[in-house]
Amino acid sequence: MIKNKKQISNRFYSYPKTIGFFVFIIILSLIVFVVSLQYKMLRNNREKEMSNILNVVQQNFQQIFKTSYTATLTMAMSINDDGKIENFEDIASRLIDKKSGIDAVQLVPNGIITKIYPLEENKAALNYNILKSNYNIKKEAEKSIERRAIYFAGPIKLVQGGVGVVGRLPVFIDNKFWGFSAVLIKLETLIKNSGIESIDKSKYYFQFSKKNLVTNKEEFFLPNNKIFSSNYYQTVTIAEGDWKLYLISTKKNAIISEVISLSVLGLLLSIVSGLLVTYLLQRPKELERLLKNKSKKLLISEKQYKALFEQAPVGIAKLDSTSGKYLEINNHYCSILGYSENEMKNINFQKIIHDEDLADYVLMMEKLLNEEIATFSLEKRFYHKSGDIIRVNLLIAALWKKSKKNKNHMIIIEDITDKKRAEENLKQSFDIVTDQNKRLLNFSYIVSHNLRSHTSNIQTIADFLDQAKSKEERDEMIALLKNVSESLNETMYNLNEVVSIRTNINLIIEPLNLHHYIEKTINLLSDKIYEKNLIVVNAVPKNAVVNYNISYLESVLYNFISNAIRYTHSQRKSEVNISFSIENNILKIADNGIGIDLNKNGEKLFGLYKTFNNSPDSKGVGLFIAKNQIDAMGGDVTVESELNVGTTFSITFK
Amino acid sequence: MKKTICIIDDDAIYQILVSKIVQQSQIDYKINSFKNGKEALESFIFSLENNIILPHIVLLDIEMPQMDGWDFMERMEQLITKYQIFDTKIYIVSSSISYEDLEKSKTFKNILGYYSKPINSNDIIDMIEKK
Repeated sequence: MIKNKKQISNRFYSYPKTIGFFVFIIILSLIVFVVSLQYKMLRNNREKEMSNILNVVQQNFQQIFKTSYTATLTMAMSINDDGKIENFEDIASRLIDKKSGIDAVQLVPNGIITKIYPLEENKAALNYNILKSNYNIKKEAEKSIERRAIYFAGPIKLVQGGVGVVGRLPVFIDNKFWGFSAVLIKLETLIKNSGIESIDKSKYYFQFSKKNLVTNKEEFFLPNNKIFSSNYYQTVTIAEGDWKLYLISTKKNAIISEVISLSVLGLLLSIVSGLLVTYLLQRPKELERLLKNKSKKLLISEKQYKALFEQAPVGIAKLDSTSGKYLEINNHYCSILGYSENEMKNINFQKIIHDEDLADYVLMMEKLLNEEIATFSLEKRFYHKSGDIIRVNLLIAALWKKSKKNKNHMIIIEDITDKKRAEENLKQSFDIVTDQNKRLLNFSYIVSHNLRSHTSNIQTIADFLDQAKSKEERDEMIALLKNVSESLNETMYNLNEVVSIRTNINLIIEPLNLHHYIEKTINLLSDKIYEKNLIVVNAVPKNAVVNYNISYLESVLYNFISNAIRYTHSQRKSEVNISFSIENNILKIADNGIGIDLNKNGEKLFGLYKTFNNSPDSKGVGLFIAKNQIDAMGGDVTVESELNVGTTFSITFK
Repeated sequence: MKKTICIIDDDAIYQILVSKIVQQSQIDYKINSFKNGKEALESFIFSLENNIILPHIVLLDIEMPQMDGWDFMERMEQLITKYQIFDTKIYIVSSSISYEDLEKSKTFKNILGYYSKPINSNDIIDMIEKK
């Protein structure tokens, strides 16, 4: 239902131009209706007004005719039965006054104007025979005889000047035509008394006409002789003179022009309304369009966000910062940690962080919540569901605006376990390579140094041999040469041994009883131990077993124990303690000898720095070889020492 | 009293050979040898404490067991300052031809020169004549 309504309104809003047009049409037809009503009303009003005016004028005419009739009758009284005129002046003078509206009276026996009053101004008309004058006048005069009633002729041009109408009453004595009793009314007097002049001339004007009896044409008498047939007019016929009186509207289309402004106004109003409606309807449509665009964009960006969220090669999660609850988690996040989404949501975030890495996370999180920082990233160890430790790049970003109550934050984790491992491997190999490079450099130095010491001796001996003068001298030099060659041989042997440790890959490794081999070494060194009056304690458990190469174990033990015996302190009873921890596989060889300054010589200790010829007591090569053998077995050796206190070597077996 | 050339070197053959060279050079010096820095230092300290004159020329090797040439020089410089020794000339005579060792020898102001083995009688005379 609501949807329907909405649809309708949608449809309503979607055709603003059509709706606007309809509004225009409706208002226009309304206006047309109103205008037509107005028009009708105006026309009725005008008709009424005009007929009123005409009525008044007609009545005035009737009044004039009555007066004229009365006057002609009265004049007829002055005619006696014999047809003689008596007391004309007397009667006439009484008839002519201003009120009567009659300009002159006449008696016209047999058509000849015999008596006229006032005489002075009308003298010219005296003795004028109207029945023998021009055709039209004669015709009109005959008409009044015919009708036997008063009949107004004219307006005609008067003999005595001016224009006027003449009302003639035919007088009969004993049924025999005598003549006329006539009144003369000048046209101006007639007009004045008819009230024609008193009308509103801006609106209407009069005209009056008569049919010419001769030509049978309508003649107009008033000066505004325009063609008015297209103007609105009303007429009335005055029988006494066969006149037609016209009341004519001054303006051609007065009503229409009055209505036109209204129509134009109405048209404008309807156009404006139509446009306004269109505009108003278009606005919601425009808004709707904008809304549609916006929501479309929003949808796209949401889709993009969703795709980014789901398909990003990193784990993304959104959390409620106060409760620590997950709000959203992407698949990658779960798969990095090995949980399903539901499992994940029930695990507190802090629980997956490695215990040792928790402290600084908590610290940073506090800063985030206090709005000191907006984002931070840390490298962390996480617990995988399997219990394995994975390494991640953790990035946390606040998602709230400043001082907002609802706080969410985003967690992005990137699994860098493999990367880290590779990095560590790389570092390890780098360390190994660096170490090997160092050793190689060292080795080449030793080789050059040792060989050079021999060659320089040989060179010197050769010089002496050259210069030798006696056999004894020569023999002496050859004996020295033999010595050099022996030393050289020994040097070569030692170098070869070092090289062989480095190249030996396929060594036989077997479980060996450590205690037993230590006893064996002590026996080997028993002469020296006895000589120096030493105590060597073998505290290694009898069941201690290490996996080692036999000759390497013998070499390592021999070198470290003989080293411990060698540097005894002269002022105390010397002791060497040998112990082994089964848990860590660490063998400790501790002496209370002179000690080593590790700051100075630590680096040299296992190095091949010392020459190893001509000095059977301290072949520097011993510890170097032993260290290399331990390395080759995958173990480690460290040293702790204090000057004048003693030295402890710790050898770790793999 | 005969002047002394002191050889501090663990190479016994070298010691013998240097003695021969000195004999051949017809200079009136006697030879005194030590097989490492430690022995030489102990002897020097004994001499200084007992007002015995120190050797005039010292031929010092670098690589030696127990106390090498550099360690010996560090201790020796202390003694030189302490006892105001002016008439002992110390030279490095080593089989090393490495640049690092040559440079390191220059850091000791009491080392007058650096010789790579082998040396001959001319070298010995140079050492004696050098001031």
